[in-house]
Amino acid sequence: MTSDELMMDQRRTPAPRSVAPDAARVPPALLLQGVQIDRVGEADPWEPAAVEHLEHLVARIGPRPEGSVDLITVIERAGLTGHGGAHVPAAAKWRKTLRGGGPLTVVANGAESEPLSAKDATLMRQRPHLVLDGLALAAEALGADRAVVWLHGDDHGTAATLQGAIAERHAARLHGPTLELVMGPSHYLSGESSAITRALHGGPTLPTARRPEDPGSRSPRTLVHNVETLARLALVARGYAPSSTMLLTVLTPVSRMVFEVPRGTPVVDVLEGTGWLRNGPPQAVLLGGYGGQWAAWRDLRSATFDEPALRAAGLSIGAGVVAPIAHGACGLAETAAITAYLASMSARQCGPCLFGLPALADGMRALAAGDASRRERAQLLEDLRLVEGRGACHHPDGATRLIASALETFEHDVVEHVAGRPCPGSGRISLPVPGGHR
Amino acid sequence: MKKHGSTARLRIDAAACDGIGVCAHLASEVLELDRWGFPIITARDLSRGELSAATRAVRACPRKALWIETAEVPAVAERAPGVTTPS
Amino acid sequence: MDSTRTASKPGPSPAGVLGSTLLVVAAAATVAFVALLVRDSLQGQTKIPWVLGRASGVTSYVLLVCLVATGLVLSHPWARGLRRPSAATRIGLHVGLATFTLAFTVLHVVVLATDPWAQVGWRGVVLPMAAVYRPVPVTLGVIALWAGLVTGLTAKLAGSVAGRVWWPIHKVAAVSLVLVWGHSVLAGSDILALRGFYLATGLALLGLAVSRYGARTPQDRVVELTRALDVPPELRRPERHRDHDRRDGALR
Repeated sequence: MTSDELMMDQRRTPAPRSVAPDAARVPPALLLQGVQIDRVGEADPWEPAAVEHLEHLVARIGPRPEGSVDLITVIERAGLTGHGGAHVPAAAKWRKTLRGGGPLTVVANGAESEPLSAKDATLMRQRPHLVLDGLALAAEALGADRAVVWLHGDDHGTAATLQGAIAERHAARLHGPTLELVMGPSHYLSGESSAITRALHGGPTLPTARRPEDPGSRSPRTLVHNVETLARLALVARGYAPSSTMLLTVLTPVSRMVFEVPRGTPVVDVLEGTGWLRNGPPQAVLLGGYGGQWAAWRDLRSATFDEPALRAAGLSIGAGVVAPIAHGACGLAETAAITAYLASMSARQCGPCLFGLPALADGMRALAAGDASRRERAQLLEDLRLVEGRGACHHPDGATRLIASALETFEHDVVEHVAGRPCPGSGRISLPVPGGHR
Repeated sequence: MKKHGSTARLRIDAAACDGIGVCAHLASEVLELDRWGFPIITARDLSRGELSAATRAVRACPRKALWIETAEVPAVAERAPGVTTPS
Repeated sequence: MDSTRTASKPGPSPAGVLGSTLLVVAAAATVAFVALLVRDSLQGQTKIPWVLGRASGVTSYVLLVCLVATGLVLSHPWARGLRRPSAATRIGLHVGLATFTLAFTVLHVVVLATDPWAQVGWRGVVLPMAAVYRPVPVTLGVIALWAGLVTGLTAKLAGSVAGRVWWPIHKVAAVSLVLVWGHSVLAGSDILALRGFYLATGLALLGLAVSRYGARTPQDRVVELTRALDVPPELRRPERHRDHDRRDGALR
């Protein structure tokens, strides 16, 4: 399969509504088309991509049904899970929200903190109304007082599309909750749900620990859903069978490609379609992005893009990021660069993150340079154990998981580096790791 | 454990903690300090003695960064009503 | 979190061992000195208790300065994440100093209460303005004594009976150091060198306290970090409240 073919698949979009009138209709694809974008920065497609206007959406899949609390059983039956990376069942989040009693804000989280991921921005730019429908549905079903789309402050293209879409809905006099667009900071952690919660209540955009609340408390509640989750909700609520596709962002040597594949697509097919197998297979693949984990090619050769199957193999696709590195690149050097970036993106609130991540970054740097002493190596292992699970948010856990997977995946390189023979490619970083400036 | 089917755990709000170390001074049975002086909880499900140590740490923390969380464990009795709970 | 618990407590750190050794040596030296003084006084040198009172007073002052200094360092933003001495050593040192401060203060009080020549007496050491000798400076010391006892007692009970009461009291306890300082300067500085000593230590502590409370706390730093990144105020909406009962009724 070539990249064009992969993308073409998505153009054969939905079965018209009239063809399959009842429930369990084949769900339409989420994306209108696959896109190619720069390796870093905004998700501006190289070729102009289609935007679905309100009348297109209605013509394609019909108007949005009213959101009622029965939706919770619908999404439970559909097995709708979060698409922000953690794959938490949406129904569980709804039930937890319903236990509280304070004013409720429902948030469509479109701030992709993961720098490599662009599937949310691409989805919002192509099908803004699908996302807004999902947000309106969730807000209506749960009786929310506020419905917010939350974006990174520097995501101007997506913001413009969404503003246009919201204006269209106004002009069409759609009933339903008022939808707000809020631009958060462009900081890495501003996509973290507790940070969003805090910001929307007037605080700084920084993660907080989730403390238990009294049942029946009237304190404000916030439900944060990833935009892809809400888009899927908009389809499920219309009576479509739960979609069996995945949105992927694949990093290539020259670009990022965002497209949709059927769940269960072999990893080989995706890499072939994105040109990764032209000069032999890659050395390893970073799944889920900078807060994700490494997988050796031998483990992925026969794997498929199916979250439960990947989990069974100890892997996870996270938010759908696939970032392979070629032979010749040094996985340890890449990991060291990413760790330094993650350390610089800490909110500096929690001791284990504030002191632990720079310590891990130092350890990885020494290891990558091939001059880590026995003490430094022992310290690195000790710190991995020490930092894990001790932050208010999961930011430090992403770093420890990444490093642990690197030590396992690049085991052979570790031995060589320790022996003072670092990889020839360890001076060059092939992944587009941001410089760490904020 | 006091109640059937519930466990108590000591939790830390790492964002509130300043690493002063009062907790470890008062309750070394349930937590220790890492090399930067921030507490690591060493006791998982608190026994009665550990619970009192943990309570001491919770009460004394000047940053109010600690709390005890009781979680219901799905006991046999909950799944099959009528069966007596093992003590 | 690891389910296996650390079976044994880690041994004391080298700094802790050094600190304890120093304290033991100092205590031994003091006991020897006291024994010497007692022998001298038995030989009829009547001013000895007075000298002992002075010596124990100055020692208490020195220990108190160290006590407050270690206390300030414990919660100093700059010491956050300080690795040597470890947090456990720092807090152990603070508690140890408190014990020794209490011991020398008790010695100071008992000596002055029992020395007829000092004209302070038992009433004078426990009640304000009850001493004949320099009533105002002695009263400063008396108030500081009670404040110190309350501070130490609440801290000892921290986490149990008194809960978190110890923390605000600990913060106010800095005031008792000011009283002690006044007490020392007014009642205990018959040598010029001592005045210089009080001034120097007082200023040093003041500097430490100012940096502790005036320094950028981690919270300040976080606020600084996010100021430019924060949600612009015009995008924040006040919470709108609605009648939830209708919806709650429908949901439950």
